[in-house]
Amino acid sequence: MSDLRTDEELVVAIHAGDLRAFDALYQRWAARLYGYMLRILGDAAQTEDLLQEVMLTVLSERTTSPRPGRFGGWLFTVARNRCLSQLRQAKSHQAKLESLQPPSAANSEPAALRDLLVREALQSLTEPHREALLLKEVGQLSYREIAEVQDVPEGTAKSRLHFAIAALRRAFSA
Amino acid sequence: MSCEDCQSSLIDYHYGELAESQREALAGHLGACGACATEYCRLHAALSEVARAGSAAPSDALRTRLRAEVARRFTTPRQKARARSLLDWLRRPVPLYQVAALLGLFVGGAALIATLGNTRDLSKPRARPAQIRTPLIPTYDAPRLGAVSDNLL
Repeated sequence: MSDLRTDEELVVAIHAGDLRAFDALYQRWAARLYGYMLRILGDAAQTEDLLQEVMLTVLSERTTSPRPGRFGGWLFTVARNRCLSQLRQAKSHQAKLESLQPPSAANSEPAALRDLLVREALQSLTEPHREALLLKEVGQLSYREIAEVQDVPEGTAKSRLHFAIAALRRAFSA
Repeated sequence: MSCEDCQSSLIDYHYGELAESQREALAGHLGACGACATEYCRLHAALSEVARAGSAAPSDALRTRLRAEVARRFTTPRQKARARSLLDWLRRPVPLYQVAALLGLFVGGAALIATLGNTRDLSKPRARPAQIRTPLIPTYDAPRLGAVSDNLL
């Protein structure tokens, strides 16, 4: 049964030592956050390490607790910054992008071909557009939360998303 | 709602970002317009591909590791002390004479219960159940019995 408490209530409960609150928060966010971070980092082990760091940071930093209803945006902002910092530190952004290149087209499984198509379509987008699309589709954030993560007005986040989807559909139909 | 208005709002509709009145109007239009409904299906399929390609789950080991770390960081000293005291109490050494005394009490109690359950005074016979006797009704049964015996003879 899912916990009906808000994210902020769960964080408060975790600070009081309630591990069931942690379970609920993890259940709510971990898979989405992991999918998003994996898309940026491209390495599962590194993504897990960083996800752990992000969640502990978010739970520990009481001084930067979000306003009610803003936990998702805050969590993804921290995750995004950590991922980009990690990529900068490694100075291997380009290498990582290359490692994210799709598997060989010789793999003719239909699912693999669809993945290939999606990856190529995503790679064809600019970084802000791709990020907006991933935050929406993988992170399942609202327009407002995407705007918070990207630090832009909500209208900008929305138009980025619309643009990305239109480009994606063009790529699919080409 | 025109088809143009509908199609420009399909993405917002898909993500549940429309106001209630707009959502209802668009849903009504989709129910009546085949072209817009088809367009919506195409959009839905394209976005499902992106979501599917991005879906992944962290390992169970991460959850276990993170949970342990959260417990270590956020369980209050009082909670830790309570848990530790309970654990210490369970793990405390128990003298042998206490174990023997407990066992003796247990065995004695079981024997007492068994004895009380089987107690019966053997000097007295068991009470027999009362026998049911058929009542005799001479004025009714006598002539009938006589007639039967006559036929038999």
